[in-house]
Amino acid sequence: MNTLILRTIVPLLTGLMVIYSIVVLLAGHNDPGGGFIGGLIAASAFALYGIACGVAPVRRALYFHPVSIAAFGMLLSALSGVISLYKGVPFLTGLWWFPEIAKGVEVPLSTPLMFDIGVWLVVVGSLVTIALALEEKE
Amino acid sequence: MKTISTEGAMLQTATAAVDWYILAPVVIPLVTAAILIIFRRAVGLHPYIALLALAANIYASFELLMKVKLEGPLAMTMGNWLPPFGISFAADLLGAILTLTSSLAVFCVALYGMGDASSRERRFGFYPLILTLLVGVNGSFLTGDIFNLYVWFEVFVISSFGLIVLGGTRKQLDGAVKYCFLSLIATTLFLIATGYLYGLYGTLNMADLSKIVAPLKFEGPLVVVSALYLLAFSMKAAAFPLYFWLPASYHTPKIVVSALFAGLLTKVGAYSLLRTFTITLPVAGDSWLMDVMFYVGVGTAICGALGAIAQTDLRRLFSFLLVASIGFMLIGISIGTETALSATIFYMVHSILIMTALFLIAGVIYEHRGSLDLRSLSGMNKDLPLLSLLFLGLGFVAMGFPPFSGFWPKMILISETIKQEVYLGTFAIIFSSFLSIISLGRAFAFGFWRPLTAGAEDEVAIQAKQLTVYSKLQYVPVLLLMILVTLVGLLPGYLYELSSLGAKGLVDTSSYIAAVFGGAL
Repeated sequence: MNTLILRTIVPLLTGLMVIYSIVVLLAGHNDPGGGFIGGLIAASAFALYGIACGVAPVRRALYFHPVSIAAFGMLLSALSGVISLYKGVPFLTGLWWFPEIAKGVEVPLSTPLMFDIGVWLVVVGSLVTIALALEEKE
Repeated sequence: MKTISTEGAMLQTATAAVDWYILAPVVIPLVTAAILIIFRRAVGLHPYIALLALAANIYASFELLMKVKLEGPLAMTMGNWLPPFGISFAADLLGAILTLTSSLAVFCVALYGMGDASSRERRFGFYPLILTLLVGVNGSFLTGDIFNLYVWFEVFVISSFGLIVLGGTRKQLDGAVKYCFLSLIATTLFLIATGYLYGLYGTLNMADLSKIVAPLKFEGPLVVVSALYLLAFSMKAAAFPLYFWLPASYHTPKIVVSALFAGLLTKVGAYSLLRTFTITLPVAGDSWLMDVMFYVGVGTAICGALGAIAQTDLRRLFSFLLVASIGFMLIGISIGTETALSATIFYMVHSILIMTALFLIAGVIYEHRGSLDLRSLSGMNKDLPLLSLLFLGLGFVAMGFPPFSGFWPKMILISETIKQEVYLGTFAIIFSSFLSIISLGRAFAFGFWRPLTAGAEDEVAIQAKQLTVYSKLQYVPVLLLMILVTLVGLLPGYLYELSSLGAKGLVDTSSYIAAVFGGAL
């Protein structure tokens, strides 16, 4: 779609949407949100970018091939379950780690978060693949 | 904040690392598939990485089988929850044997794919897809939760969609549409039945269901659920009268892909029937529904074999034989005695190996002759002696001649039908085997014995020029499978011991339930 308004506003909007999708992803453990819904938001951001500016800039912006992104997400999610092997607990048990990055500031990291990031990448990768294939001429 | 005690809901003891053998047959191919997709451009490396992973997978399945044989069923509930809150994985002997067998079959298919899958097809994900298909199949064999079984069904069904259109010709898409449509209906029915089941009993853990359902009468909504499961799984297993989709779609994809499908996919349907009507819904396994399944099995065995003698395309012929073999399994499950079930398990192992081998040998024939049409194939015993010998051998295995693996389960099943006085079953098995002898004998007579037809010499010479070093390599997986089925046939005692122990675990479910619930029974 070749309108000046869209082409001007969409890059900005895409950035905002991706940031928001990450917020939703990180909120996911205790509040509404999570990898799947966050991934949908990010995927629609890239799809919008593709509609406004063409498919090639999206591919350039993503750098990695979307299919590889999805596969990396799958790997991340699978491995998040395997970590529990070293703790002597069953597959996919939630393990938490609270590193102190500054005095009194703890960042809660966990295997569920890793799993969720994996889901986010799978959703982004696979939906962007589909969207770009549909947006591409031919 | 008040701390909530999780003692009743979460596992308090540590899990030993050896228990992870139950997950290895799922996790290894899954992780490998992900790595292969990330490096999707390095297609030259794909077969080697995949074969390495599959070899590791065979090792892990073997260790799992040995462990289950020694110590009884092994279970693990995900996420440290206690069953029925978490999703359980539970390997009994049935699941462990089939996991090992399917891992072996996929290894052979991957080996065959080295020469068969072009680099374009590899880039489109041939190896990752066969690995994810194995993930789905192994997951189905090992899961102890019926909704999780549905999820694994989806995993292998979606992988098979990807594999069936690999190549993308018009004929393939036609076959794919039939296959996809029926798969979707079957899995949807499966999902609906699972929804009902959860609404009725509030749990989907197979061991938990087994405890709840066992004292109930077979009436009301339970009948509906059981009938839906019977319908859904029979569709997936290609049972009479819903088998038409299988011969209509299995001859269209790449030969190596159809070998994979023939070896594994229908068997998962048969396995699910076996699991559902023994452990999960024990009362349904003693009800009139089994009579229905018996007649379905008789119909499948006879119609499959009748279909086979009418075919001229080698792959369609094998597809119908596959349908007939499903009939034997259904007859075995419906009789439901310990002996019949152990014959069924034995037969499933045999069927996975032999069906993969038959379709792979069809691939070798295609490589040498460029056709699978029995009307044009001829004279292969002259220039391809090893192929002739292998085809004859595999034919004997499939027909159920001693001393090969097909003989023992058929013999046990026949003697059991006589003992249980279901002579229709006896008749169906013998008649169907007789017809399969005719159809395979006919294929051998036309393709191998018949002297080379006039005018075919040029074509054979052209085809012979196109052979590469890989064409020789393609014998290897077929030979491997041939050796396996011969070994099973010559030393049936070992597999029979395993399958009868497996059948015992299906009849007496207490060890399975105890394994899932551990100390928390």
